[in-house]
Amino acid sequence: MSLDATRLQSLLEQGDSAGCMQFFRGASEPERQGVARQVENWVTFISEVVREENSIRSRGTTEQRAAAQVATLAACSLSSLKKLRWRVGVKTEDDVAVLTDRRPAWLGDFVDHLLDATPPKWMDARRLVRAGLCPPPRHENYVLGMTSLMGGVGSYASDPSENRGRRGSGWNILSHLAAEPDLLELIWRLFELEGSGEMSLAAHDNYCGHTSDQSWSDALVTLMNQGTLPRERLLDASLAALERGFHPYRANWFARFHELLAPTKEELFARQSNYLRLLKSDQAATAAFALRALDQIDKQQSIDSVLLMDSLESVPRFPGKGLVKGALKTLHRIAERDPKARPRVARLAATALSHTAIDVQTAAIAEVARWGTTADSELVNTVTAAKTAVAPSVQSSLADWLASVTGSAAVSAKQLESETNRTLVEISPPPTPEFAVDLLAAKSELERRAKRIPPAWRAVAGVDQALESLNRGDFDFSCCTFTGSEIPRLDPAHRLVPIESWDELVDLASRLVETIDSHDDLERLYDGVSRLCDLRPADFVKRTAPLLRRILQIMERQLILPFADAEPAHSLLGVLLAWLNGDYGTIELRQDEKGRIEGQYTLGDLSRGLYPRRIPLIAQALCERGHELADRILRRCAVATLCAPTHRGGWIEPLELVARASQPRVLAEATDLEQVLALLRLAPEGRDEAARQLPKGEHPFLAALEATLIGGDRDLSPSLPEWLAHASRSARGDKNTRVTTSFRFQPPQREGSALIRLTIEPTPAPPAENLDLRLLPTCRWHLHDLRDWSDSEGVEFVRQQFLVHPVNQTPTIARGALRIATNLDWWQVEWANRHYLDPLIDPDVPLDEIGHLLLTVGLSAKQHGEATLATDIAIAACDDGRLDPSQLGAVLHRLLSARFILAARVARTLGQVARVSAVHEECVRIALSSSLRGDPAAMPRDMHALVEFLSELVIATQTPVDAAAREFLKRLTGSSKLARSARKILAFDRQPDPIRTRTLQMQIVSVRLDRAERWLSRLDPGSR
Amino acid sequence: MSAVQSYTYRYPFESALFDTTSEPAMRWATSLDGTSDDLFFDGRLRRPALVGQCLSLLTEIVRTRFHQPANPRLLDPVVTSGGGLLRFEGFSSCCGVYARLDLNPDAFDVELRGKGTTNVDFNNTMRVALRRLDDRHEARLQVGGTGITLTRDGDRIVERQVELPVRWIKGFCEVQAYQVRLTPHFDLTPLEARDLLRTLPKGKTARQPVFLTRMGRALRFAACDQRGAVKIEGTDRLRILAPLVGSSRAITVWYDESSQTNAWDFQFDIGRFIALLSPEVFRGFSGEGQILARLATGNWQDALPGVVDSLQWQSQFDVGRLALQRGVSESAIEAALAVLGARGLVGYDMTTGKYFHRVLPFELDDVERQQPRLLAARKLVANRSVRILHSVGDGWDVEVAGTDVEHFVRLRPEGDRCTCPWFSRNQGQRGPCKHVLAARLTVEGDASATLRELNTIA
Repeated sequence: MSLDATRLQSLLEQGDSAGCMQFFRGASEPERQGVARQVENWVTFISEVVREENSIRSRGTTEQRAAAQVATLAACSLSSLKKLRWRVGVKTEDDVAVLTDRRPAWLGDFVDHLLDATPPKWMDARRLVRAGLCPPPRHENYVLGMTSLMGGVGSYASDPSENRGRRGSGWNILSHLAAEPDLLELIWRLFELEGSGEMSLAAHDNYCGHTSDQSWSDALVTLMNQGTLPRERLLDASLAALERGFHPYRANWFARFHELLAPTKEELFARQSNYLRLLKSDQAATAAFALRALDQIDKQQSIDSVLLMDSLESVPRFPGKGLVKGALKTLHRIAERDPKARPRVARLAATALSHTAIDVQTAAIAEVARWGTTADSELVNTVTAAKTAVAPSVQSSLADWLASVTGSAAVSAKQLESETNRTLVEISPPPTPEFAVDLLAAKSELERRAKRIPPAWRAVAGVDQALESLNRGDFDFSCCTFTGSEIPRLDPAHRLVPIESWDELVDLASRLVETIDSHDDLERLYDGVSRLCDLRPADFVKRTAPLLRRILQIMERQLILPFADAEPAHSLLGVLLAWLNGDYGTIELRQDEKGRIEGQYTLGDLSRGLYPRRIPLIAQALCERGHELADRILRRCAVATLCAPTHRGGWIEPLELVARASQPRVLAEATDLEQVLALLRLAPEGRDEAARQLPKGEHPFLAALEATLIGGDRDLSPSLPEWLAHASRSARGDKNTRVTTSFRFQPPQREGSALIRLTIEPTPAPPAENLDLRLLPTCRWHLHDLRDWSDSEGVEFVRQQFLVHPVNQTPTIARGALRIATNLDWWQVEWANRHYLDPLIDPDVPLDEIGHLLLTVGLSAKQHGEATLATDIAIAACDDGRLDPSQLGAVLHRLLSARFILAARVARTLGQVARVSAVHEECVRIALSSSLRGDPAAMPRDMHALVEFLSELVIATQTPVDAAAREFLKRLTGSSKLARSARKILAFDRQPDPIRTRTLQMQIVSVRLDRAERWLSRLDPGSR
Repeated sequence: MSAVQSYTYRYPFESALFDTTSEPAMRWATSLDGTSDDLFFDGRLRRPALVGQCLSLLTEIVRTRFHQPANPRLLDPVVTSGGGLLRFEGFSSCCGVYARLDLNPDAFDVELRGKGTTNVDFNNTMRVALRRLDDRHEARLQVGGTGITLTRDGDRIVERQVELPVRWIKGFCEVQAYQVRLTPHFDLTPLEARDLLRTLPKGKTARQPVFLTRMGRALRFAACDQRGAVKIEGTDRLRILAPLVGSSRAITVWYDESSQTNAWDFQFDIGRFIALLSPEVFRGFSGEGQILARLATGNWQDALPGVVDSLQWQSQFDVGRLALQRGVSESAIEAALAVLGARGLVGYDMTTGKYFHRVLPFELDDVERQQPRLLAARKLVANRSVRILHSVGDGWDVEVAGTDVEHFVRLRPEGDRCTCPWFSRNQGQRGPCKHVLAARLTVEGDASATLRELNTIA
């Protein structure tokens, strides 16, 4: 006999849960399976999400879903239930009742399936166990689920009362455990399982345990006080958990809990061996916990010195200085009471010498000096090995101690301990001085190299200036002062190869459609499509079908729609659709009742809604360029693009541009924007030769190109390219030029305005003391104003900006400085921002004031990628002579005195720069010294980090700070760390070592010669 | 197609630590799969703390999913004994890290050394026991054995049902192809390594690439690529190795620029710990398809029988001698060994540049059956969906039917190309696409028959 499917459907549609239960009561398995598919389909149908005018909801009503749930559990097989995934659970007592009636053989597996879900359906599984339908499962999540934030023990979801979720409902972990005492046995398993994500004791108490009645640790202590849980077992279980190697975040809960239990003296003594083992832990927090416990024990009753030292052996490797200093104190105590332990104490202390914290090094050398003996060869070797790792200020103490070794006898550790068989050991010789080089020979070599370089290039590269300083015996760290427009920028190795074949075009398009990993290649593609768009082999459709299909897939799945956004991927798809499909679709924009702009993209059967966002003006312009290209391709107008770069980085060789401009068809088809880009991308070299070959003609672009190539003030007509030609030459000058033009693509919310303003105007520099963030990008000439701001930017968008005006990256750099500065503490995720730093790594991009500003905000950024990239740039710029330490110091001073950046972060990043070489060390010292100006009270509270770092640099470089910095430091009084470091700097008044100064200056000359030679090699590849 | 292989580890007992009168002894159960001797290994550890630290780290890696943190899977490392070495191998649960601990003869006072490869039961108790080992007390290690009676449970068989992801097993085969291409890039002192690892980013930032590079006198993780730099993505995978630094004598960083795979080799007096990191955190070694072309076709077929005959649990294969003995070229032997590596029959040790014999205790036939790209390629060939258009120089132009479209495949000596999205996305970095494989199978013939014979021999 089979069940009545029509009646079942009617019950399901009515949402009659009771009727469904009645319907299935007593039915056999085959009868149930007969309607299983019907139920399955119904559940899937009513679970679908439907979109209504102002809301999104599932198709079925609450009653229908409840009835469907009952029917599903009553009819479906285990595999069907698994397939229905989140749609099925055991939510109500009706669900339990229907399974009680059915009692399927697979109930145990079903419970495991519920617990396997993400997040595990602990409440559902628990309902079945509580009803006695299955034994408590062995699944780990049955235990860990108790700590689930959403539906674990004591959670709002598990509250059975009518007051659920209301304040004062009284439902918490304790009341839940009291209501279901069988859960108490599971608590011990919580000490054995680590858990993950949101399911662990640590996660629960971190997110939900803000009140004592909601935290597991307080609940367990209460249960212990009530006598429900044995105290001894809790103490032991928490220690055992710490030995399981859980993640520090989760392990810390057990350490905190153990301390919350406040073990007595006797309890501590009884567990001494556990603490000793935990002190060897890989995790600093666990080791620190164990050390605290052992210190308590040791202060009351001495622990065996050997055992304690065994456990302390690995502590000095931890990065945190508190723990290591604590260990040194313990060692000190051991040495004081146990003379036999002193040699080993000294050796253990010596291992802490390589710690990065100066405090620790100082404490360690003090212990070594106090307890160590120069006769101990192992100790001497450890101390000698640490010589390169210790801070300059500690080095003198270390050297003093080592000096006492010379000539004295040292014995191996074991020998010392047995006090027999003393033997001599070799002490490592001191390292060769870094500056001990043959100065005269090196200087002549530099002069010989300089003579081979034409005077003009020597001057631009700063070679002459650096050589003069060398001859005078001075040290001159001023940076090369080139602007980037007077040097050759076209590297023959970076020439772009134009696309010649159709296969090449399809390959490149297929690659870029997946990811735009190179904007140079994107430009090559645009140029290739533009030139080859009329090529239509017989199998064109067949060969390009995979690419076209993929483009449509991307549009559908990733919602990248042609010309719907500023990101280059949108323009790319538009251009390719124009080429492959002959249609890139249309976008219709409309305004809803609330004034919001909505859009609809349509291409054939594909129709997608879109919400235009605010996009920067420059992005709109670049988007428009793609639009214009696509329109030209639609007309099958195969012509070279005027603005296609010839070299990486967006550069166009002047002769090549002249050749393109000589073709009337190219000129006729070039849009305003292409003309603008062509002029902005023009490389500085070869302009004279190009000007000689420039054809005569009426086209305004030819006049603009001539103006760009030849220069000088000319009376230009007000066409956009001409204005920009003029502007691009004067972008770094002092002329006040405003250029305005119109473009087609404009969202209508700008009240009918069809203007995009490309503004080039000077704005006031920010005030020296009170930094106004809004003024950050407007320190110099710029192409964007503050309205030119978008909510978020993609990496591709950031990178494409660098190809707009390669010789003048300042506007983009300014934009980057603003974006990083406004997100300095990484309060929101903006992965693309770090790419604003990218151009600064190029040795031919000058570091001007804005460049130094971007570099400084990068160095003080919280986000690791931004800070590391800025550090890389600082190292590279110091290497190639672009970094001006005085200017960096001035920017640092401005940002520090505005309390805009944290001194500790800058100290850390500049510390990495200083580690690279003596030149870098010196550069950072000058920068820091230059930043100490004005009122110390205005500086950030963590200024001691920077001053302490400077004090180390002063000792390392053996060079004092300048007079202004000394004035600043003299105003720091008291006993604070800051004042102590200041006094250390002030105490240093030796004159710089002349040999060191000359060696450094020679390195500077060498770097500048390298630069000049590189420029020369570009003009004449055979010259090198 | 199932992405997991339901696999039952059958252990004669649960691994445990028990104290005898004089010393703690660890007894590790090995799975009863017939690929190893019964009592596998019996010896006294000379550096118990270090071995314990390395093995805990290995098990931690095996239990971790770096890509998407989740509950650990119950996976057990594989141990190989032969040629004087005891090797433990394993993959992280996400298959993005391959870790291997090689313990040399100096690590033990050995009483019994068997040969073979098998799984070892690393249960929770054992992991805690490993952490407790210290050098003040001697420790004994026994691996395997069936006739042992434990005071607690007697000699019952312990069965553990494991949903072994196929990718975990595939990783063992794939990783051999990467190791061959690695070359040493940096030698670090422990101090350098310690300072370096401390600068690694944490959290989500750890997914951004960093470039290990030497700048002047400093070694650092830079944010931008430079000549000679080693690119590392997913630095959480590297930070987990930090506890080994203190005990190591030296650390060597290996790198292959083309695949961007890097390996960290921690050297100790008693052996070494090697961790191989996949190019990106979301890319497990299993899905890379580096061995696909080799499995499908190849010139190794003549040399293969001779190499298979010579498998005797060596810790190093002497390719030159084998080539002389068999009268084939060294490259053919190398190719045959690479294929055997891809079939789980040998492993590669990049530090010696030689292969070693081991037989993975898994159902490798299933693995090959679940190479989706190879299967799909064979299906394309069987369905006559491949059409050779014409030859071009040393290459061929081939048309392969895709979903609704025809893909254009160009087989060239300098690299094959296809118009499908997989190829466009990966540009051949992650092995050939199914269309290229199908085209190669059609042009060069299928080696599946030889591989089936190989299974029988193995």
